[in-house]
Amino acid sequence: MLYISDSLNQLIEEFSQLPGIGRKSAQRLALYILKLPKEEVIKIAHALVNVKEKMKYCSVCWNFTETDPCDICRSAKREMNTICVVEEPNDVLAIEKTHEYHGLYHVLGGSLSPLEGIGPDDLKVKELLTRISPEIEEIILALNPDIEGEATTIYLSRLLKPLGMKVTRIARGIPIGGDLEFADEATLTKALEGRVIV
Amino acid sequence: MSTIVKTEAIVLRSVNIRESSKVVTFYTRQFGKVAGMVKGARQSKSKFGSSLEPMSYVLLVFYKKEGRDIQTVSHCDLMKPFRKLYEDLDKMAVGMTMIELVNIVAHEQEQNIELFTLLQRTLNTLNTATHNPSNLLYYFEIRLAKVLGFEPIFGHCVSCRKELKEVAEVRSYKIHVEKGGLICAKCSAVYGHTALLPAGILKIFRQILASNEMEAVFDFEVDEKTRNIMESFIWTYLRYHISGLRALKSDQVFSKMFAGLKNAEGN
Ligand SMILES: [Zn+2]
Ligand SMILES: [Zn+2]
Repeated sequence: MLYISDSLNQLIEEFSQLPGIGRKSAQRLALYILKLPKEEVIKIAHALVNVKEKMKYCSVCWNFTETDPCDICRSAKREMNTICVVEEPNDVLAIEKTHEYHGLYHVLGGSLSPLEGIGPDDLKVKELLTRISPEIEEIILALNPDIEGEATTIYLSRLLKPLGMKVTRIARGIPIGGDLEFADEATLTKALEGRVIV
Repeated sequence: MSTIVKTEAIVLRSVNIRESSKVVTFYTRQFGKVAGMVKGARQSKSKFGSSLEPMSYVLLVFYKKEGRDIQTVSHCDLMKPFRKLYEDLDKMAVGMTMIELVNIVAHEQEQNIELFTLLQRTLNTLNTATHNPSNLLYYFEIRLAKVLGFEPIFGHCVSCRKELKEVAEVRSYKIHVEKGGLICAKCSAVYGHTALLPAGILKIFRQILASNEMEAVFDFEVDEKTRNIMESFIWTYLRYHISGLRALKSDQVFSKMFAGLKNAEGN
């Protein structure tokens, strides 16, 4: 057994908790950090703490932001009559990358997961309802194409429709079981363009 | 050493882990409950498609290694899509409750073909149901008690075994939950009773146990009050006989959802 000091081991342990990082990559990253000049390491540490301290949730759309309301919610260039509802901030990034959508967003913070006990009160559903005004013409439901996303889409459409605006869902270009954030831009653009009324 | 095996299965639960993988819990025909790791399942070009979604009826191929908690899934293909379970919230609620129950009562790697068949057939029937889909849950739960070995006794007294026929003027029947079914007047004077079952409900339960035609349950028209009595009786019964049976998460979430919708849709 190779001897690894406690501090190094702890760093490897922390890295291996990160998404997409296995034990081997975690080791590689930790050794890379070890070889960096101290100033560089302090810069990385600062960036980590900074992002945690400065980033907060936008009190309107619940996306991550440094300023509240966020840049998208405050922008004069966005179409204020359309709200695209997504599960996670990652999904906003994915849709923004297509440059095809110019409305507002609403980040639910997940999806309805009956088997995991996650219900409407655990998501930003009430917050979405308070944003509904006569100016809102369309709500686009862009949730993951899995059973939780389906449950959320059906639930929200039935909740929103009595309020009178157009409720649409993105087309099923993304295969069931797939994740919105893994879809390429072309697929996502097609899914947005081909949205259907629910 | 691991061997590669193939079996029919129903997906009970699917949890995302790491960047793009899933740990999926299956109820298999051959091996009972099996947890399997599926790498790359969430990528857009994943070959697994909807076969890993809860309630899916699949043909599963995995590398079976003794003593492993999580097996490695090689292939998983849909046997038959139950599309309506994903499009109709009422059906989804019934189906999810059934798979959550099975996930709680089933043991790892312990074969129970009757339980598998019950689950597979009920999901299939639920998919094609045209009215009263929630009635199927009663069928499933009563039959679940049967395949787990504690079928409720509705034909005779659980204590003296005297046959108990339905009598027109009798409006409700005494039940002894711990002893497992109906109790006659004489015996209940000694042992007491834990529940009263209205005659109409007893009739439904007897039919459920007597016939394999599960479609017949859709024809029972039960009002809200009767529904509540049925649910609370079945639940009390299951909770007594299945140790560690907790309240179902899916049941709580769907109750909240339906309450919210009732409010919004005004009916
Ligand atoms: Zn915002
Ligand atoms: Zn008796």
